[in-house]
Amino acid sequence: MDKNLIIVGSITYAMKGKEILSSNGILSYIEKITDGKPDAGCGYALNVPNNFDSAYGILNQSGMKIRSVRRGKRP
Amino acid sequence: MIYLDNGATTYPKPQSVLLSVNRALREYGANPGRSGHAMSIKAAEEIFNCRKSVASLFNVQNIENIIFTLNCTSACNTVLKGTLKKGDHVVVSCLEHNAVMRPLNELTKKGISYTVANFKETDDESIIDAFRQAITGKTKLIVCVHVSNVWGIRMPIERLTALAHIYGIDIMVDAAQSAGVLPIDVTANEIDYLCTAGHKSLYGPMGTGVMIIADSDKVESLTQGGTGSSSLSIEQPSNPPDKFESGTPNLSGIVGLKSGIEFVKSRGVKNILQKETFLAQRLYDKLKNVDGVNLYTPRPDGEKYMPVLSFNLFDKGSEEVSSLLGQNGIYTRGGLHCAPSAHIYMGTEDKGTVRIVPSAFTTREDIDRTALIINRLSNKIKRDM
Repeated sequence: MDKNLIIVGSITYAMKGKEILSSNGILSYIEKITDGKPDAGCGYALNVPNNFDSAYGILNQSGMKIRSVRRGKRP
Repeated sequence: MIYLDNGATTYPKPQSVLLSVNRALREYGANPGRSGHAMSIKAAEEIFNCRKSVASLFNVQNIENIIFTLNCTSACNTVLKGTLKKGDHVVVSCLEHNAVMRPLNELTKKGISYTVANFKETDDESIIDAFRQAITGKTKLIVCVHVSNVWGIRMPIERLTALAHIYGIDIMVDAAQSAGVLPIDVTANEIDYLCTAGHKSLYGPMGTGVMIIADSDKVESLTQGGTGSSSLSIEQPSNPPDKFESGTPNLSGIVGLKSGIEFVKSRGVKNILQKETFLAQRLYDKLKNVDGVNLYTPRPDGEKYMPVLSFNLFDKGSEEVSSLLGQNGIYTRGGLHCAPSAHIYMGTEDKGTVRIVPSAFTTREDIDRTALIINRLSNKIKRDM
């Protein structure tokens, strides 16, 4: 199954995003994007296994600069 | 050895700083924010944690606006050279360090001008008035040191910030001598640019500095390069902190800085200031009774005059006196302290002064011994006259 990724760019934003999600009870993991696809452009993403839509909404509302998202295949 | 040169850099550092630097070098020596392996992520997390500590100490809302620099000088250079354009005018105080005056002087060759806000009296009203008189229709930036690194004079930066903003001008505060000794609230006071050293009263290692910027769009990056993000593009990232942090960061230094800041927070900024003021007052009270000692400022009070003590002994050169003290195990700094403006203000530009700055680790015994040695030097000079 592909991962649910919120691509934010720099590691600092990834760390900040992880903390914001954590404070909202959402678990996430920081991953380096390595596939070289245009939406990533070499950077970091938050892997959000659950509550992806909520996570995206929370980060968006917080003013986080989100570069793109990748939705994994739903089971 | 009695180390009283804490205005240059603090020594010793807290044990926690030593341990954390050692640990950083041993356990997470990977390049932060570059790779995807656990050690690189961990290293990046440590840098992020330091940003959080800085944000907590200075009440910074957006953590990404905290930029790590090599030192306060590089932070000052980034703000000055990254914001000012040809035709802009700057107002500076008459106490500025060369970290401000030299880049500013360089910028005059590119069509930027500046006016020094001269004041004789150090009360807040006189200072504010001097700045107000110096503002013109082209003034873009006010630059002011928070605490003079020579005289310990505390500048009213909160009121200067308000004055600047009334005129639509930004303000840059050089907090090299005040961060960790005076409370600084970047958000409440709406400071546009705060520059400070990590290795003075924040007790971090040398090779660390902090720049806090309110609006990163106003500042161009001076150094472009690899940031570990958006590598496909040869455009420098436009978002902070990456915009201003090209190249490999000083990870162990930044980790140490975090420990230093936590040390300051655990002791309490007010408590540190109270202790250092007590020590400076004790030394001041002893020195004023020593023949030949010239103290240029009033007794430190922790309000207007911070615990930075400069003096001269008879007509001896300050470097000579500092050297004699050093031979007696008292480490101070003589000369102009990279702040000729401040010495011109007091009329000591010909021979400088001997500067003594205590730290959180200075003891009463250190001060008493220092006063004793200076007294002995005074007696020897009198005998030799």
